[in-house]
Amino acid sequence: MINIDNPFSVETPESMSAQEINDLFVPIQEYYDLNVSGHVFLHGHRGSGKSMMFRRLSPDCQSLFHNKKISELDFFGVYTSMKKTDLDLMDLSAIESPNTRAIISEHVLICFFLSKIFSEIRSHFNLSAEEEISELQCFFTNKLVPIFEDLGYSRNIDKSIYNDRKGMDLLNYIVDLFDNFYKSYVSYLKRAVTSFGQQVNYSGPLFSFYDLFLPIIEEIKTMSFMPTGPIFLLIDDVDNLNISQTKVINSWVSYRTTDILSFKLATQMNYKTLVTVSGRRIEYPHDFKEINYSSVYTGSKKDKYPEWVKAVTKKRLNFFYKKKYGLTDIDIDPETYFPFDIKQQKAVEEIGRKYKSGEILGRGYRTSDDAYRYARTDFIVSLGGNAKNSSTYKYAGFNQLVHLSSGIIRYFLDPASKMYSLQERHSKEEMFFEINPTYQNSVLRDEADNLLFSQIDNMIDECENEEIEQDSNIKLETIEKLRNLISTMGALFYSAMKSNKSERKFFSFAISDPEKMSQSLRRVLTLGVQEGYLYQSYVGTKEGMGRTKLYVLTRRLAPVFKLDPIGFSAYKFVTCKFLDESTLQPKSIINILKNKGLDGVKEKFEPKQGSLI
Amino acid sequence: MTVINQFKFLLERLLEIVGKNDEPEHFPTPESHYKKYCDITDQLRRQVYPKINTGLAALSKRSGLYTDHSGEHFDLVVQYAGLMLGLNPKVDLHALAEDVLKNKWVLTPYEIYILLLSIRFHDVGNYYGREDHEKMILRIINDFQISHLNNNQLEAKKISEIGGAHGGKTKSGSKDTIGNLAGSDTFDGHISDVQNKKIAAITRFADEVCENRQRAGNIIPSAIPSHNLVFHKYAESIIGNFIEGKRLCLKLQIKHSDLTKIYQVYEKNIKGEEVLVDAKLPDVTLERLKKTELERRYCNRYLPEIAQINEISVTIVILEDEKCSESFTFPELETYYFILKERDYPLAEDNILDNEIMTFLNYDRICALKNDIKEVS
Repeated sequence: MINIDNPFSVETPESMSAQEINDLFVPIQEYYDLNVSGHVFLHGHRGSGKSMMFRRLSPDCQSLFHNKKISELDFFGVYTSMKKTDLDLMDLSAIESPNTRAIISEHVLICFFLSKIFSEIRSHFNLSAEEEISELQCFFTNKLVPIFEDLGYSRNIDKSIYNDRKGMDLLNYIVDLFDNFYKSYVSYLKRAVTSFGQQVNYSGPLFSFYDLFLPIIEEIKTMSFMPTGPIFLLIDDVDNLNISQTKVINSWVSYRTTDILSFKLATQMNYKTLVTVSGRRIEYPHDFKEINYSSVYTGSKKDKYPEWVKAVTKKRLNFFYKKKYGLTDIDIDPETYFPFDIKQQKAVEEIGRKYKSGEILGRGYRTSDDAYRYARTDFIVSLGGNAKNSSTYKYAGFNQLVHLSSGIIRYFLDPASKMYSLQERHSKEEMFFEINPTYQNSVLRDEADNLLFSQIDNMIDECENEEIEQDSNIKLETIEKLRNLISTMGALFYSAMKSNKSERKFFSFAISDPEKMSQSLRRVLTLGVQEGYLYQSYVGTKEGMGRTKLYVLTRRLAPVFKLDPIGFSAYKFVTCKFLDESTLQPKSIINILKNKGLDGVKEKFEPKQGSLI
Repeated sequence: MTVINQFKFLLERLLEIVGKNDEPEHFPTPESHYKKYCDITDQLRRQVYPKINTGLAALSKRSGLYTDHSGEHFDLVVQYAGLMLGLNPKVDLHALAEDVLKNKWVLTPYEIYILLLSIRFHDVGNYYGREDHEKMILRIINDFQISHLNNNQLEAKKISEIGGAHGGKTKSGSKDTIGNLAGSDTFDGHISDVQNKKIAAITRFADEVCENRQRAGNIIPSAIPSHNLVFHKYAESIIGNFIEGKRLCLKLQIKHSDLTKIYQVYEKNIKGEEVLVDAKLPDVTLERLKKTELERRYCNRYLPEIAQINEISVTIVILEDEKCSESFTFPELETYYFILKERDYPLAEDNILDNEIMTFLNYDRICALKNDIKEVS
């Protein structure tokens, strides 16, 4: 059930009803790649909408959307999230060898997923019709029991249970059966942990993919109330699986079972390995498809993002005003709901007009380009001056909000939700249809500060509490270096805005000498990408031969560095030496930028030769 | 449990030395792994091995008399695995055991235990019939409540996976059953960790090369179903199969009349149906030799150098059908000797056997052989 006190509140998709999902979900092109059989990795930062996409593939949502019975659907989606506490109760590395861990991990994952699949069936069917009852009984007696018998595990299943339990009762027994295997694994782990390195005998059954998992899935699919298409196992947050579990999942992905069982795996850009249990590597596109959800909006498809956010916002606003105020015939335009600051916009437009009329001489080929690119930038810089009042620039207006969310819907919805609450506090219980630009600006500035300071402080706190001192020290150092790097790059981009260069709007940097990247710098950049401060992409090298990595700074930080989040921005080539120095000595670089501008930095790092940054 | 009291093979004697002292630093649990091995083997000898041939004949999709899978077959594989690892009567087992205990040998103490068990179990699944027998090891352990393993499913699972990789296909359809095992690259020196692929490769190749006349048994030809006869004839023809250093030596003696006879075997037609088709012993021999060479190359991929077999030397003797009245032996009609090994640039599977071998075992040539000889004489 979604919150009807705030149109932008972010609920976990699991807690939303099928109707709510269908009312609020706006599909994007990538959704349709998930919709067909095949193993897919979906990479995206936290909050980018992956879970919502998965939830939409659940049988109840599909049934409602296509107006079909579940049995008529093309597939049966089973959503499950790998929360940290679900499967990694204890550190397996302390107790057994890698091969043993692989065997145990496969067994545990199978129990976990089978329990989820049968639970999902339980939640979508009532199994009260005579035919359904008999089919389930037939499945149990003629399929499930023989599978156990073939493995020599007949004593682990109560063959005569169907005499006492029928329909839903029998299904409950099956769910409990796999849950209990899981429990016996937990109890084994506990014994093993307290055995001080001695091997503890495990006497329960051990399942594997082809012996038990796949045959059961094949049989489930044959029941008439189930769709005949594949079962989609929609696994969210697979980064949380430990290394053995990850290898097991990779082994399963390497099997060509997509017509029966397809894995859709969502990562938060931190998937541990693509190696299988047998040491092979699964490969794109041979074994799986890959959707890079975060780069969808920073790469070539970025133009679609604003339209998508607009559609999402519109659906939410209309849904909310209908539910809360009963306004059935309403059509709210998000751009009206989040207005820009009129006075500021006029000033920006005036600068644009001057570019077009030639009163300000542009440096680009076309004056209209300069007007579009630099009017707002010039305005922000003009506010800077000596009075240091650039913070009076207002980050407001739907367009700016969209750009400041940096391609992640949650970074639009969360601030929008806070803006709504702020507006509501000042509206004295009166209905309102727009949010004051001042409130928008205030929330966005707080969010940016929070991202650069509180969030990094939190990372440091978490790190300090870690048990292994050596790992903790490396992590701490990396976090500090990341903060330094971000501060330097922010200052560099602002400095570029103030310069008189022909290209002065930047939000990203490319590495001109990637071969010189130190291990420490690599760790910093990887952490930046994982934590959502940077987005990674690729561009052609400066020399025009080959490709190199491009890192885009999240636009959420624009208010901190007084940057213009809207529209096109170029990328700067930087050397690894400069980046290394930025991670270590940010203040000295920032001081140079402040006093001597970009040229000062260029002089320091590459005194005589051509390009440095 | 009774400890087996019969002839011990060298590999078993090695385990006896390294595994009798409850060495906690060499085995996952402080108990005699040699005693465990004996208990398990004893139970297999009493309860499982005697019933395998019956199971094979009665429960296989295609009924018939299969090559021997009684206890002797498992003994032979243990023996050949020892030979592959360089164990022969001249080896000082106590000195070798010292090396094993210092982890200076090809197998760790625990790996010797796992290897022996993987051999002892590799074909037990035939109890339920030939089809997918390699996938039935765990079922035997559970159905027969095999001591020590029944309550240690982790070890049972490892043994079933390693032993099960001796043949068949993975369920995803690949023949690379060893490559599909959990990788040795994850080996971290943990006491209960074993290099699955290495052990599976030893088991598989030892199983491959132990086939010989002894295994074919002294069976009255009329008792063998016609569709199995040609395979029995092949096994019967192997009079020598021994490992000498890094070389596997095979000696085949085949009577001329056996080579010229037409047999029948089941084959799948284009519709996937099994139909009886004609088969000739020379063709079967070529196929089996090619398979042995392929197995050698395949298993070498997973074996450390010390256990690798570098080549197969083959001697094929074609015999007269009638015994010589003076020597009471079958006179030799023709003999051909050749070596199977990798040469030059890697060749396609079809080129493993060169033209001369193919010509020597050409059916028409063999049929004409006696006439030619008669003409010459």
